Amino acid sequence: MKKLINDPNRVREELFEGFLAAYGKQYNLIRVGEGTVAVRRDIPDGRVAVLTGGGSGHEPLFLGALGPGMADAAVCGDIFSAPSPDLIVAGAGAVHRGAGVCMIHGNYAGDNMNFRIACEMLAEEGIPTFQLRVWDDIASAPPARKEERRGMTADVFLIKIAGALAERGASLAGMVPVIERAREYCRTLGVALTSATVPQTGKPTFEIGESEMEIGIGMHGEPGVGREPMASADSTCRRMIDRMVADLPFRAGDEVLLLVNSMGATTYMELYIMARAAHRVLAEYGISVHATHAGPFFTCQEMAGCMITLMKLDEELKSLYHAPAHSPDYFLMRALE
Amino acid sequence: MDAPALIRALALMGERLREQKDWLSGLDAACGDGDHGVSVARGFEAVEENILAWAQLAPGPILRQCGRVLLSSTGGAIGPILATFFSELGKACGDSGEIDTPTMAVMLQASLDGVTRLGGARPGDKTLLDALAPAVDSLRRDADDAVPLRRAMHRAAEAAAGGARETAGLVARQGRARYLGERSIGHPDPGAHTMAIILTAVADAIREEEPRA
Repeated sequence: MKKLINDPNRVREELFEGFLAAYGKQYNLIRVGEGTVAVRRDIPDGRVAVLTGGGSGHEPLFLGALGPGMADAAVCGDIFSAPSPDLIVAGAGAVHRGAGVCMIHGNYAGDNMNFRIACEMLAEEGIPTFQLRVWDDIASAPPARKEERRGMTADVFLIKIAGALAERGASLAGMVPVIERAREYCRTLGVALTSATVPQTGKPTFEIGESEMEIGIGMHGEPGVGREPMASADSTCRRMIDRMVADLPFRAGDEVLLLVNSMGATTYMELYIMARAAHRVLAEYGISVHATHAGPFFTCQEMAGCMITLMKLDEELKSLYHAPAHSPDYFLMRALE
Repeated sequence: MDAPALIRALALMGERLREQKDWLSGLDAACGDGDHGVSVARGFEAVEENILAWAQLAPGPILRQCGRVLLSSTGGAIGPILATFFSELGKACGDSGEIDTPTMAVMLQASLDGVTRLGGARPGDKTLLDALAPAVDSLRRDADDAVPLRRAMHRAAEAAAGGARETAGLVARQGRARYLGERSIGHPDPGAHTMAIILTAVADAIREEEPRA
């Protein structure tokens, strides 16, 4: 393992400290036991707070999504490990401004349990919450069992939509149908070319040959659902989009947001080549791309590979997407007209 | 088993789970992200930091405290699961100062029920329930036959270890490993092995307490 770290057991703490050193004017750190939560300082009273989180090691998520029009709190567990309920409760308590807390997290057993327990603890304190479990990965279950699907890069769009609703003063109950509809409109598929190494174990999470790629890779380097021979960007992208379009809800005439995410090691050069391919294939389906985001948004250490996320838009979602937002690593989320 | 024996059992669990940390993480890497041993060791380090403060408590409250500490310190899926396991043991133990075979059978059954409610897994899904369920069955039989706890716990631990080994032949239906489907066959479940280590530590702690005649 070659990583610029100090102590594998202090990675989470030190990356939070570095984030604060970089952007500390806007954020506070709250320490709970060995864990740390980052929260925005300038949250207006009386509006819903947006909290997101999950394991660390996916930077820039979840810290990089903090900011006006995006998330108010980022709660991270250890590398690839869900945060404990105590951390989530501390984060929610710090950003609650009287209107409740909307929590956005990936649909993983660990996150589901820890967030659910935290919501029960918060209910006892009189803080209303809603848990949006993100389940956009089409590789992990058939459409009929989408509640079993993993949460992937749709997090980025869903945090944006929830943040915009919160800034507009929507109530927690009023937000729910909109963010649930946005979730229903998101689909993601990933491909990995190389493995990832968790600092604490120092070993690659899986083995993959020089001439192989793994389709349907998970966000944590879990093996995907199938090995295929390494192929060109155009052919890989076509097969990915074919599967996503077949999964609904996309059809000719739709407008979508396109996210081409680097898993860590994959370069902008490759992301743009994949974005080019995605635009071409979507055009063949009659689907128009309203806006494209390419970059490392939600990573898996030094894994090479990419994820493609499509989110179908309607008028309301388009307007929420264009609402002002600013955060350290998602400044591009501001309207690109 | 009284409170001092329980404290010894918790210390022994922590020691062994730390020793097996890399091995457990290696099992996890085959089907998950390879951090199981690290997470469990972190949780039990926090238990050990608190253990001295529990010296005056009865077994039930010790187990509930242990659950609380594991919940705040472990994270991941295994955190709430182990926390529920210990909390339910503690609740079912009630005010008992001394745990005998029938009490232990009731306690472990309550834990099995609690973990099932929490995670939705069933025996056969390749989870720690595949170690816990055979241990519960073994203890219930031994409770009916009035087998002393030292022997009954030893047999329950062996049943758990056997169940853990047999998870290698199962297809994962819970957690991140389930996305692998058939590809999970051949790899034992790290959670089941952690459960076997926990129950074996209990058996060994009371074996030391009551040396063989």
